Order: sequence, then C-alpha cells, then structure tokens
Amino acid sequence: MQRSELSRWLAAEQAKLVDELATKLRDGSDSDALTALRSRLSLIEETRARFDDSWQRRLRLVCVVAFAVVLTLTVLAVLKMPGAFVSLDVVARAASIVTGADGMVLHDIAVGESAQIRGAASVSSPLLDGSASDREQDAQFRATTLVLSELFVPRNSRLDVARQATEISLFAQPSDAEAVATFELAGAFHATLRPSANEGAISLDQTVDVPETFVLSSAKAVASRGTARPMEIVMDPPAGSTEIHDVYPVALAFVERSDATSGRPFVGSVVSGSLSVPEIDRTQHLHADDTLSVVGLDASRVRIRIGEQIHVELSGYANDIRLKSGSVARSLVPSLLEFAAKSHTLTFLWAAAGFLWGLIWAARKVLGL
Amino acid sequence: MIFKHCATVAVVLGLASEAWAAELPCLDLRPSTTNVPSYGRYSDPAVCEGFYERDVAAAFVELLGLTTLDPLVEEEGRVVIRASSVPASVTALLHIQPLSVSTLYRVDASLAGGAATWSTDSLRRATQLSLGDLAFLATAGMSKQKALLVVPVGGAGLAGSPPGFRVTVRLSTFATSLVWRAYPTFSKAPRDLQWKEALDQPKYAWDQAVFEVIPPDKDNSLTLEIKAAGRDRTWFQPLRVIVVGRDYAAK
Repeated sequence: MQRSELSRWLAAEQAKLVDELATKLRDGSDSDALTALRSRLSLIEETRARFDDSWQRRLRLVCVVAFAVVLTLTVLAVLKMPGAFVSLDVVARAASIVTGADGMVLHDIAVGESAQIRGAASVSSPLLDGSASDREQDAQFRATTLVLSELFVPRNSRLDVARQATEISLFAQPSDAEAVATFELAGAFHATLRPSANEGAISLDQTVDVPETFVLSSAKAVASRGTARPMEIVMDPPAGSTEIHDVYPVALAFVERSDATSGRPFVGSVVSGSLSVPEIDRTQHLHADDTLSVVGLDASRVRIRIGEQIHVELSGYANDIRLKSGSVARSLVPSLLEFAAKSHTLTFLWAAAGFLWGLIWAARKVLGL
Repeated sequence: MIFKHCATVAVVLGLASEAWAAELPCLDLRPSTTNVPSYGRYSDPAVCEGFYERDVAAAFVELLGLTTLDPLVEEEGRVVIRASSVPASVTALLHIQPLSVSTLYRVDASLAGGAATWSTDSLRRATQLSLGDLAFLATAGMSKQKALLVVPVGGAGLAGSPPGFRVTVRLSTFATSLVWRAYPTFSKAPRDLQWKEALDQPKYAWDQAVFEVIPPDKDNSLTLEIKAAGRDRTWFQPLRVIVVGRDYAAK
C-alpha cells in the first residue's frame, strides 16, 4: 500500500471512530465498549500524528538537500579557480609586456637604417662630452647599419611592441628604474640630438669601421611625481624576424593604441590564434581584433617572434585570462564547477573512490560482516 | 635553448650584487646535474662554487678576467685576492672561472673589505686546474646605463702593483677582429677614441684573447669598450664595462 493511501485510510478511520464514539455516547452504551473504542481512537490518532510527522520531516529533508545541492552548484559555477594553466599561440599586431621583479633584457631586436627616439632622459656616447647628456631629449639616428643591440626594461614596467607596415615601435613605460636602449651605429652615420628645451640640436656625421655605441635611458618614476615619461623608439621594420627568449613577463596583453576617433585609448590587436586551458580541455579560438590579457603569469615557456607580425607562444600558470571579443568580455579561467566536471584528475579520483567503495561492499558481503 | 649572452650574465651579476648585502652571492645558474660538486654553497658561507650548465648560441665577447699586473700566488692551497681600492659604498664580488670553456666550473665569492682568501682544494680535486688556468674578475653591480662595474684584482694589493691591468676575454664564435678602447668615463678632456686591435690572427669559438690596458690618466673610472667581428665584419654583441678603483693607473 502506498504511503498516501495509508494516510488517507488513517484519516478516514479516525473520522469513522469519532462518529461511532459520538453515537455510542448519545445512546448511553456501556463503559467497556466506550473504553475499547476510545483506546482504538487514541491509537489511531497517535499513529496518524507520527505517520504525518515522519512524512513531513522527510519532505522537508528532501527540500533542504535539494536546496543545498542547487546552492552548492551555483556557488561552484560562479566561483573561479584561483588560476589555470594556459597555453597560447597568438599572432598579433601589437603586444604589451609587463616585467616581473627581474626586468628583462632584449637583444638585437631590430636592425635597420634609421631610428627615432622620443622621451630619452639622457644620451651617452664616447663621441659626446659630458655636457650633451643628462637632459631630456629626442634623438634621431641614420646609419648604414643600425642595430638596437640591447633594450633593458626595468622591473615592474611595461613595454609595448607594435609592428606596423613601415615601422616597429617600442614604447617603454618605466617604473622606479630607467629603461635603457643601446644602439650600435656602423658605416656612414648621422645622429641628431635635440634637447626638448630651446637649444640647438647637436649633430654628428661620421663614417666608422667599428660601430659606435649610443646609450639612451629613460626617466624613472619619482614617487611624488607619478609615472615617468615613457621612452618611445620607432625603427625601420626588421628584415626577417627576431626572436626573444628567456623573457618571463608577469602579464601580457594583446592591445594596441587606437587612433583617437574610437574614443578608447587601446583596442584589441589579435590577428589570429588560439588559447587552451588543458585542465578542462578547453580550446578557444581567437578572432581578429580580440583583446586578450593574461595576468598574474608564471610562465614556463615563452617565445616572442617579431616579424611582419608579433607571434607569441607561451605556456604557464595565470591568475586571470580575459578575452574581449567585440563588446563581450569574459574570464577564461575555469569555474570550480567546470574544473570539477572536466578535470581528469578529479574524474579519476571519483572513479577510484567508486571502485574502492564497490570493492569494500563486496568484501563485506562475502565475509558476512 | 639558446641565447645566454654575457650581458644577461652581467645583469645576473648586477642583481646578485644588489642582493648581496643581505646574503651571499650565489648566482642564478643551472647547477650541473652530472658533475660533482655542482654549483652551490658549501663549507664556506661566503663562497659559491662548483660545476654548472649553460647553452649559448649568440655571438658575443665574454669578459673573463680583469687583473692587475702582479701575479696571484698560491700558498698552502690558499690564494689571497685583493681588489684595487674602491669607495667603501661599493660591494664587490669575486668571480673565478677556468679559461677553458670545456670546464663549466666557477667560484663566486664576497670581496668584502677588498680582499678574499680562497681555498683551491675543491677546484683542484674536481678539475686538476692550476692557478694559471683561471681568470679572476671582480664586479660591483651595474651603472645607470647598464654597464658592468669592474674592479681590478691582483695578488700584491695596492702598493706592489705596476700600473695598468690585464683583460682576458673569450669569444663565443669565430672572430677575425677584436678591438678595444679605454677612456675616462667622466672627463671632459678630449678623449683618445682610437680602437686598438688585440688579435694578430683569427680566433676560433671559445678561444681567449688577452690584452693589457695602461690607463691614460689617474682617474676614478675608465670606460672599456670591447667589440669583436666575425667574417664579413658582422659585429658581435658589444661589451662595455666601467673599470672603477684608483690604483691601477700610472703613478
């Protein structure tokens, strides 16, 4: 018999007994019959109370459990993992690289014939006496062979690399230390240094066999005055490509400066590429003009190739991965729920736990425990 | 993986010297997994020593040694290395490396107080090298323009050393020319910027070259530029260091 049927029967039986008892009381039946009837009625009432109580309790328990499950799933779906392993392969027009505590040194980034540097705080060269340096200035170099042989980007600073059709631009936003660019000028060269103040430009024209070195450094940020003036280097586009290894940025963003018309200072610079989060088997294809940023990066492998475009291959652990496609921005770090559902390790653990449970159950039965 | 320039090493040296005030200067190298002892700190807390690993592919000039002209002497397994006098604020580190690239063994030690006493036992047992097979270099961080600051070191100390110093470099690949020039860093007087050739014949990969520099003036710091070229006059990563300390100059 179903529980609901039992419940109905108990209710009907109780009503019937009450009727019977009332009839017997009116007719003045003997006390024995009344006592028997009353004890049966109280038994029925008691059973019914208990029966309904346990029924309601079960129902309440089911509700509570269901609510808890829904709540847990919601929380798991909303809460993100503290980070994820990410592996990306992106071709972009520009990239913005943030250095960690060690800063970074890039070698032989660009070889060309001309370069323009804006925002250098000092220029030093054996060809200049002390008086020429240590003043904010712009510089212009032309040479048979011009090499940006070294670019040092200090700790916690940003370097924007952008590759356009006719030039490559490097924009260093230094922190509490100076960014330093070392140029090697060989063959017939011409150098113009223009202090920003109203002073005459210094020009050098020479033909050298051994390259001459010019070292330009940026200003550095002074706490009371906020950010330092950035140093911008614009050079001929590199012939072929140069590769940057051994550089471990803590953040990376694929953005570029937009023309003023759009009203936003930065826009997405992705040309194509893909990104994968192996823990949850997610592969995300990137589209042209997407904005991708990876923050809190602890990279294990980084390769940046600057050719006609900027090609970044990277894998490592990131605290946050944000992708903005059109006007929709979202984080690609898996939620706890996604992680629990897709993680191979967790799947294995659950399977192993189930298997062990079955094994113990079977052993209990066999041993008769 | 490739690409470990001397400049990168120089940065490491610079950072190491900054961090040194608190702790001893073990460099961020890859300790050897096959040779014993691997690079690390052993009995002497002021010395990091041992075999390490590295991969290199770029063309560069590596500064191995910069020593005063008096010879270093070993007595009872110990060598006393003294630095030219430097301002008290400068923290110098001593780097000892074999001249031959085939032995990737190095010693990094503190030069606090301008002198260090180094026991040759460990190196001798591990490599059978003698004093003449080694290069000695002392660094004191980086200049604002990212040039390595170098302090000449020698055995006799300040008084007994003839003027000038000896520079030992290693070329990472075939080179037909190695030129250098040295000029006072801060002087406004006209400078002699003529390059001097240090090679009389081409050098092959990992060969060393040695030349002597007699500074023109008694000056507190001297910029030393070293450049090398391979076939077709393609120039290596340049090397630019600032030699600090007063006592190497002509007296």
